[in-house]
Amino acid sequence: MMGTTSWSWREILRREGTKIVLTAISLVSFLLIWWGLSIYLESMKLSYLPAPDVVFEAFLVSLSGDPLTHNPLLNHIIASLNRFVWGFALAIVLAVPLGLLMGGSKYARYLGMPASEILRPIPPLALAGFFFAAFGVLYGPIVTVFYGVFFPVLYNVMFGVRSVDPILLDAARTLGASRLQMFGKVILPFTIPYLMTGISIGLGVGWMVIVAAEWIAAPGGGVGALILSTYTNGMYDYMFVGIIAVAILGILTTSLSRLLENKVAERMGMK
Amino acid sequence: MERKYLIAIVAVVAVVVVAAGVLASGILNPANDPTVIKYTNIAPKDQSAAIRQGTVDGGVSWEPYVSDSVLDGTGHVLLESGDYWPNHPCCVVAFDKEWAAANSETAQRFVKAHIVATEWIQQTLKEPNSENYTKLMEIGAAFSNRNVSVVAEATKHMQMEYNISDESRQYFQNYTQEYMNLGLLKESNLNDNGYSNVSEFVQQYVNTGYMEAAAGIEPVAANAQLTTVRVGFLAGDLHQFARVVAESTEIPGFDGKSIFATYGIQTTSPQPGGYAAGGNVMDAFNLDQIDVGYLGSPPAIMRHLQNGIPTEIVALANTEGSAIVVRAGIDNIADLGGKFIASPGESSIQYLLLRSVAEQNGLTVRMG
Amino acid sequence: MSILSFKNVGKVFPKDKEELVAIQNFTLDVEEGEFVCLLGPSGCGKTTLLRMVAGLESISKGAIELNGKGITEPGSDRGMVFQDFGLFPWRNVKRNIEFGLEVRGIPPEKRAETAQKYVELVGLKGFEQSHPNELSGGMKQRVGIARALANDPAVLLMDEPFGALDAQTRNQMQFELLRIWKETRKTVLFVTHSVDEAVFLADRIVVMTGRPGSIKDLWELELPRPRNRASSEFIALRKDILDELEVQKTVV
Repeated sequence: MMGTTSWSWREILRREGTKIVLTAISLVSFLLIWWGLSIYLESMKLSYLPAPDVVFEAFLVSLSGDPLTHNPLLNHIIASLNRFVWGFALAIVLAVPLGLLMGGSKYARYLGMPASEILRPIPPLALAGFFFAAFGVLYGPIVTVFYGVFFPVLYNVMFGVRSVDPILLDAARTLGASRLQMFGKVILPFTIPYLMTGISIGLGVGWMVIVAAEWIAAPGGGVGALILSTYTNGMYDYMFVGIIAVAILGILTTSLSRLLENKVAERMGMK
Repeated sequence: MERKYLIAIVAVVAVVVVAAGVLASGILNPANDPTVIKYTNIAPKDQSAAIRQGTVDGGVSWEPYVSDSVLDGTGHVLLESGDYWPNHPCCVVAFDKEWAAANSETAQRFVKAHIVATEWIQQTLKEPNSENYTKLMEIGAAFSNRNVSVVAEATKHMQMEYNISDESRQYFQNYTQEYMNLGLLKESNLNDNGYSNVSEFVQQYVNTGYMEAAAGIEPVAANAQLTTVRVGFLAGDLHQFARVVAESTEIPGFDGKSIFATYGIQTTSPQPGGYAAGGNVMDAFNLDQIDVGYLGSPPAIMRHLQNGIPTEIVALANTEGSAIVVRAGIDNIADLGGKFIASPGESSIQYLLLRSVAEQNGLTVRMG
Repeated sequence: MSILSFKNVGKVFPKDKEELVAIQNFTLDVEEGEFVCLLGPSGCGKTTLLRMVAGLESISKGAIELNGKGITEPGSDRGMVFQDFGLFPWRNVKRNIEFGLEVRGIPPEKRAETAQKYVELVGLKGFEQSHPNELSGGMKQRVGIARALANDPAVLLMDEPFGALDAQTRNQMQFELLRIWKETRKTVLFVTHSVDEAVFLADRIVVMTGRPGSIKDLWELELPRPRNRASSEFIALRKDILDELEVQKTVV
């Protein structure tokens, strides 16, 4: 088994060699440009871009709590994830059935579309102030995330239902399926890849929203709160720790969902 | 139903809900530690609502929001900053150092207007039955968007003061030392900015030269050209009452002109609604958006040393006037352990007060 | 006795304010076990007719009776095979074939047994776990046929089932269909616009007129199976039917 592995590694290297080299060059030059720029700015007495090593040191300190918030980085991350997951779960739980309903019934669509067409283009952050005032500082950020995730999921599910190939419905009917069975065995499975796409988009929006929402208030801490607090105190090294934490979380969740999206589409033979 | 997909959907929803529940229930968070005060940043104007909703157990803020929470019955004052730090300087007037040096006469005029406005407030507060008093309360209420009784209460908990006494200088040293003790500033921050120790720093950072020169400043001629000065200040902060009064054209005795205009000054602000915290005012200095700032002395010190922002303190705006307000059931500092307190932001004197009080009582402060 | 009878069937589509008559006065009796091809120019309503039998389209005039009972809605007594296959992409071959049994509440063991029988009948043994996107066009249509047959319908309705296939696969599938037909003895109603295909497959060919569609001519085919496309009888017959369609085209 080991033999095969090392062989396949060599094989990958041979095939993907150029890609790997260029990726490495891209990453290394990014780091070097960052480093060089921070040294240059430092020499100009501008301190807002700390060098990578300084940020790394700040990261190590942050693990047990930065000097400003005293809250370990992991706690900030958990607090943000907590809000994120709640807002996200709420959006899925409401958007999926509504999307199925609005996709399946034109009356539901006539009823639901005008309102959602008005609400959908409003950026969640434009409403953040209202959500904080109406739901308080505890639930405000959650509702803001909910709003950001809700519409991509709703519209994708609705689009999925409306995209169902009519032949599949005909086939199901001639095979004796009832209306309920057609919904459960044709429309629902057909919609799942669309739902996954909606979730993917929603995840991206969600991370953007949660960081900014936490700038207004974040009881329990949060990465966004960490970024704002360190910013207003000019502790840019710790601010970059927060920024990088958000970047990594965003990359992880979106690539995970994209992977899942592809796997589902593949498993369902729809790709 | 296609069983497999139904099961998958139910499973996903269940996992999400359970995960959310676990996160929300605080299982992953350590239990409330009685030696830790947890804090969160909430704008002072929202603190009263947050205490009422039970999101936090109390808040540390500035006037008039302290009086606001007390008068509407949300909470009671646990500690006034004046009891903990008697006569402590709070908000100050800071100048962009280069701007002031290049426009020293304008700078002197600005300080003069600030002094005149402060003295007018001091005098007016001694005559609570006068028309001027009513006028002052109305100006304060309009600025802070609170009613006059809140403003009246607020003025009892702070002193309007421009003079930088030796005691004030000592406090500035204490604040700086406090920041260093808390690890927010390091020895190197002093050295990087050319100071060998804390007392030398305060010596240089406080510049009373403009105030001394202001004694000789007279009102400008009625038709004189006004000089524009860009000013940054905090949103709704009555500590900076002098600025609000100096802007007003309704103060009797100045021929319908504002006090600033009387001394040849016309102000503008890049953020007319005011900044959320002193740190933001310092950022405005850093970006060369303002020439003069009204802000808490701690952020003026902290950000100057932290980021080398070229500013100087030229006058006080007020002393005292901050407080920790808590809900019923919290009766002493020791009770704050394990509680959740709202703060305006870490670049504020209120945050410094909270941390200083906590350390004095063997408690630590942590965002939570 | 006839298993399927069309009694003066008409179909009218509303079009703007007027009505578009798609089919009129269509009367035909199909015998049990018979292989009938509906042949006609495009737009003659032959697919509509098939969909009416399936219950997917309403019947505007007259009636269609299966075993003496009027058709009003889709049912598992009629199996339909679609030109574009209509397979459920998320189901593998076996589960596609099981679909009809599943919705009728047949227990899983029985389902698997029946599905396996039809998998073997259409020659897909070994592909039970494959998904439709892993199959060639010909194999997809084998699944389509097996799925329709799994319900054991009284008639098999085929709507240009080989229209999407290349010529070679198409010929091969025609052979296969005849084999399956022989084994199952199903009544088949087969829609095509290919004269060659109709002559190769049918017991009887219904040549339809252009819109509004009705029966122009009926051809009883006496040619013994397997039919040889190169034989003079085949060629002659094909030419005669083609001529009849050509005349119609020039008229149209």
